[in-house]
Amino acid sequence: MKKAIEITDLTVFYRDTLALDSVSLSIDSGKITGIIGPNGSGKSTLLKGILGIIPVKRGEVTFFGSSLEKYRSKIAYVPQRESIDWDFPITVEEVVAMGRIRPKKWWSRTTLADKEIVKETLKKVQLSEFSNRQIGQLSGGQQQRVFLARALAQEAELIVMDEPFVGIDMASQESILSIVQKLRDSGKTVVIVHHDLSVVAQYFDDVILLNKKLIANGPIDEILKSENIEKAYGMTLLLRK
Amino acid sequence: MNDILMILTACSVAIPASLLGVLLVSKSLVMVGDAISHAVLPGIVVAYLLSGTRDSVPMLFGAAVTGFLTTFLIDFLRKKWRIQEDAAIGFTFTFLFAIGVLMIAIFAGKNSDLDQECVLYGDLETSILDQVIIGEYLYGTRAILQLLPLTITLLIVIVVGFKGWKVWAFNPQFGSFIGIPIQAFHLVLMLLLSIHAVLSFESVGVILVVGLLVLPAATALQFSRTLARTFLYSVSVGIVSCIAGVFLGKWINISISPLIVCVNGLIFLVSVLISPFKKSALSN
Repeated sequence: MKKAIEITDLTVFYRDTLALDSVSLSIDSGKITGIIGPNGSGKSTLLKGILGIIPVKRGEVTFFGSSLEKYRSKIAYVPQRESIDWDFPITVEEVVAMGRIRPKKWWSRTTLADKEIVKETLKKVQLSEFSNRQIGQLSGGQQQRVFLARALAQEAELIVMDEPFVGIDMASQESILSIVQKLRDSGKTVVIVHHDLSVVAQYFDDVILLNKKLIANGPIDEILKSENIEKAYGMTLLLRK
Repeated sequence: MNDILMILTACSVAIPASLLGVLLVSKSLVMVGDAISHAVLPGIVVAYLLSGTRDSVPMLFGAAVTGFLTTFLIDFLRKKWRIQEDAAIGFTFTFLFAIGVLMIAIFAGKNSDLDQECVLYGDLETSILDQVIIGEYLYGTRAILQLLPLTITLLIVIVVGFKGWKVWAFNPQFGSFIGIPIQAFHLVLMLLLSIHAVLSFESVGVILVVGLLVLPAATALQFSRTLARTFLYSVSVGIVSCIAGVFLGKWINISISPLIVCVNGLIFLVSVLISPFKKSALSN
């Protein structure tokens, strides 16, 4: 199995507080991998550290053997819903169209091909009829799908999602999971940050358990069977719904 | 004729202000806008003292320097000294502004045409007397001719960089991630803001200019679903308030620039009440 991401000794500090303690692991390509841990366990930190969004103290990350700089254009990052200003004057379509911006030519006009991709993408996430809505006028699940659509429009190889299932309805959850599975089946790598090992986690192929440092890492079945999880974690909550 | 000149002069300040304002309000940078427009004062005074004129070139230079200084100082206090953002902004601009006021009091002598009144409140009525007449033709007031190039530059910057501005304001983290120079957008905005503050202080003063920056944009945001429309609505509100302010001022014979800001404030209040977006929030 090819490795999509390889992390060695990743350590992150927030000011003087250790947020991530020497994490080394690898993530397989063509799989859905969940990064799981309780609040404050450093799962978003791991994600942002990998993607260079926050500074890291030390450590090395490679993507399919290349550096972040070389691989950047093939990565799509879906931010946490709460980090977005939902009152901002922007429509669903405009957000998705951001996925078609070319980094070195961000000023260039949107081409017809780009518009077609945006339209197709909106259809895939079942938001076509909302394309001209201001984003604040959508439900939580629809809002999450807008950002998934932007990631799809980027046509990335690696899709990274930060807590996509928080505060959304069942229909949206299923819709997102089915899109994510389709992405995996077409050979893309998906990494999802999630807070527990309940229902949603059943859809993950591999799981990384995190609590400031790496607790366990492997296929979901093995992780669930492991007796050490609860001990290591000290959190039965993680296994409950 | 004077009315038209007055409206045009007011608009020459209000149009770029309402464009800049959209970027400030949509990214919650109103306090920074406030800060810049005050903090350029020492830059203006130093430029005036060194050059001995109110010529625009040294003034613009002074503004650019103090504008950047303000931006860096706020950033430095926040990131390196870990001071909360509003306190960092509050300290930076009041401190720089106070230095500017002191410098006027100490250095700019009695015969100077740079006094505290003028800087603080501006004077639209006298600024239109500063006319540029070449041959027999009136080309406009100095304020119009100085602010027109800024407005054109601003329009080009906004239109050409539109996608970038959208990402900068809405989701900068995404922007930096895909490789858009987000920090450069911030600095360009601060630079344009500083220049606008310098060119408009004679007409409206450094206090009221904040009203022209913030209010039309805040009004526009009550109605607009897209950034492009927000710009359009904001400029329209800016122009309407200038026309209303000039005629009201003539009618009740009172100072015009505060009236323009008052009209803007009233339009904003009404817009919040009738806004299609905020209705549910208000009734709850």
